[in-house]
Parts: sequence; structure tokens; C-alpha cells
Amino acid sequence: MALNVLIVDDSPIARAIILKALRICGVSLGDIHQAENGREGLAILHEHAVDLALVDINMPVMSGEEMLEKLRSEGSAPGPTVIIVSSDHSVTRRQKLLRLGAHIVHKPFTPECLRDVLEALPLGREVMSL
Amino acid sequence: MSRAVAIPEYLLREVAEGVFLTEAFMFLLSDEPPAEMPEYFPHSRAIIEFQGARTGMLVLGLDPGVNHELAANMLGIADEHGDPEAEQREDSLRELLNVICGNLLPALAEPEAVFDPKPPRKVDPQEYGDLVGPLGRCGHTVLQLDSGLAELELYLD
Repeated sequence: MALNVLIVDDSPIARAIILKALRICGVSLGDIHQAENGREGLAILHEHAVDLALVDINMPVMSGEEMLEKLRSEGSAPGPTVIIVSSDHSVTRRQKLLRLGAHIVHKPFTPECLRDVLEALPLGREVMSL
Repeated sequence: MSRAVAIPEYLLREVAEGVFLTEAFMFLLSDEPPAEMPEYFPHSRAIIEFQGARTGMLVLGLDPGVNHELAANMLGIADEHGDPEAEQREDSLRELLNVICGNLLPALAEPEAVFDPKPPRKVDPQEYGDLVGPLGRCGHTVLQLDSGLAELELYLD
């Protein structure tokens, strides 16, 4: 099985780092989609089958937090597994994101940090060759 | 009344050092700031403004060599595969500042505090002067890296 992945971050370099980390983690990658903000990310999710979304918080146009809220409010389908990849350390925001079903990786992160989160997910264990 | 208090230099240094190391494999040459600052520094500067538990701004300035190494390392571009483009250098500056800011803000308030940083952006010297003028500088450090200097400034209302 290969994962269809969406990476949402306004920084192309940050998206490249996340993609590189996924590859270092040994994730079997299928389609790779990229978006610069939450609105673009939602549009991609409406048009493509995505298994895993890695989403920044602090972005122009629509933040990752708003994107996740809208995604959950749309409701019926389970949607992709969402990992928030952000430097935000607020306990309050973290609790809110966890309630919305997201997993969290703090920037700066190493590939090992991302691997630890992925390994804890059923979806991750299926697609990682470690 | 301003709630601004001085933020210890070591705190800014520790946060910035950790981010440079993890994001770009860049190490500090010294635990101390340089004795003298070069005349033309920094070459490029970005700011990130934040609101919420505290209101203020964080500024990161880089030597050209540091910005080049930063972008090349973040992208994983070896020298023989070409130099990072100007847009990539600017993106690396903004992204590094974004991550430093996120890791520094918790030290400015209680853990439950929520901050709302705006997306970071590059500024020219004129805009930088206009922005920091009304604010009080609460923290400052200069890092010595292999490829040059990096300066971090914290301003709070």
C-alpha cells in the first residue's frame, strides 16, 4: 500500500523538508499533493483521495486550525489522518487540535520525530518499511 | 502601561541555536556574541508580528553567507548541485524565523496562553526602522555561525 499525501504549508522549503522526512522514514508514497494554505488544502481534499495530510498552522488566507475545523464540520466521511506540523506550543491550542482528531509534530523536527508519530498510527505501520 | 520586561539573552540564544541545528544542521562557533559588529549587517531581515497573550515582533537578520547556507541545508542542496535561488533564500529566512518564534513565545507567558503570529515577511531597512521605532526592544542576541552572523531581536508592546 502507498500513501496519498497532502502537505499544506505556505513555505515551499518547509514542504520540501516534510517530504524529505517522509522519505527518510521509509513511507511508501503514492500521490503527493501540496498546498500553500488551508483553503487550497481543502480544495485538494475535495477532489482527490488523500490518506494523510500534514498541515502547518500559521498560514495566510486560511490557517491549518481553520482548515481542520472546516474539514471536521463537513462530516460524513472519516477523511484523511491529519498531522499538524507546527512550531506552535500552546497547550490550549494543542488540546483543541487533539479534540479535532489531529496528531501533532512540533517544528523543528527530525525524521525520527515524524516516524514516532507515524508508527503510532495504524495507517503508518502499514506503509513504513523500517 | 507597557508590560515589556527584558528577556534574557541566553534564552533567545538557546532557542535560536536549537532551531538552527535541527532545521539546517548549522552549529554555533562560539557561546558568546561577537566583540564587534560588522558595519554592513545584516544583509537581509525578516519580521514576524504576533498578538494574543503578548503583542510584539521578532526580527531575524542574516549575513549573506548564513542565508545561503541556511537555504542550501534546508533544501538538502549540495554545493555541486547549484546555489539556492533568491526566492529560496528568502523562504528559508522566513521559515527559520517562524520556527524560532513558535519556540520562543511559550517563554513569554503561561503555558495555556495562545499566541496568533502573522506569517513572517522580509522587510527592507526603511520598513524595519518604521516598525521597531515605537516598540521597546526586550531581547537581543547575535549568533556566530561558520558562515557569518545571525541577529535576533525581540520587541514587545
